[in-house]
Amino acid sequence: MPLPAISISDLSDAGPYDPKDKLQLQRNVLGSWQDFHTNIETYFGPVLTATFAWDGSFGWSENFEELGYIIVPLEMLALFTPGGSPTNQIAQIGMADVGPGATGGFIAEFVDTNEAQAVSLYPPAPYLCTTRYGLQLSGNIIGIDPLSGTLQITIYYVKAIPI
Amino acid sequence: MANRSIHQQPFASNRVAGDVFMIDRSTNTLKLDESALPPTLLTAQVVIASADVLTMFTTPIQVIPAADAGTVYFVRGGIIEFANGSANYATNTNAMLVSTTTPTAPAFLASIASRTVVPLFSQTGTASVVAGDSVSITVQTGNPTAGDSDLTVTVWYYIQAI
Repeated sequence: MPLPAISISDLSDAGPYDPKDKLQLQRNVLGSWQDFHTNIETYFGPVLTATFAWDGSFGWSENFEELGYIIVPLEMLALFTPGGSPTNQIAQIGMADVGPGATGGFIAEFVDTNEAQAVSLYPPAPYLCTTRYGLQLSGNIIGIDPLSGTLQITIYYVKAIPI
Repeated sequence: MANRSIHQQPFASNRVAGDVFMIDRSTNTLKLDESALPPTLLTAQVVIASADVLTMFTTPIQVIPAADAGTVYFVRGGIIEFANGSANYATNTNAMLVSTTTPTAPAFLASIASRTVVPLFSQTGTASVVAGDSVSITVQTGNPTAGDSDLTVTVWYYIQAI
């Protein structure tokens, strides 16, 4: 498909990127602009993103793993969206490795208020991957009610193949 | 741009200052310089023989070679994997990634106490790497003892111009 014949904004949305997605660029080679293509993995590196949503209910947890790979979180961010009836309870996000003998700890703490919040997450130290090489996120509420607000967690990560 | 499909154009296997992408923004088609895009995440990996692990406090091992002049590394994460061993390292098992010229300031820590797990480096404080410096792995306090595993250390990082 010749690119100049169509506007990018007319194309279907790709959703989350794939590392092998191709990109077109131009590069100045000896004073002359020339066409090239690359892919996201080559140009930006192997970083990937994953998102998780906690609806504020008790007992939330979600496994994040991919068979045959070590999941290595590089950066974790969360966005809290307040609900209509803030409880002012403290909520914690936990992270542990997936599998027997899991180790981990809480990685973020915030209050269920009426204000939107950006929540920074950090891996507990030391964080270990055991037999399944993935991680498990969980939500804990210090209180008796579900949260009024909700949390969306974004993890920037890489995958490594075990040696 | 030429009237060809993307895959018909030569492959750019690296990132070069001044590269431009074509984007659509609202109703305008614009060019976007590569410097406005996220930095490239790079990977470094070293295999450390057990004998060198046992002296890693007195002799740190370089993981990322010295940065070019005018650049600095931002370490983003890493893992340690164990191979060929049968005994755990017994003491001084807090491995840390450091700026080689200032090895006393730990930025990322990982435990090498158990050879049956894959420790991920955790950032424990303000991570600082000296401009132009390399990044090395060492351990806190003193040399490890007893262990006999080789270590494969993989580190992901950015390069930033200063």
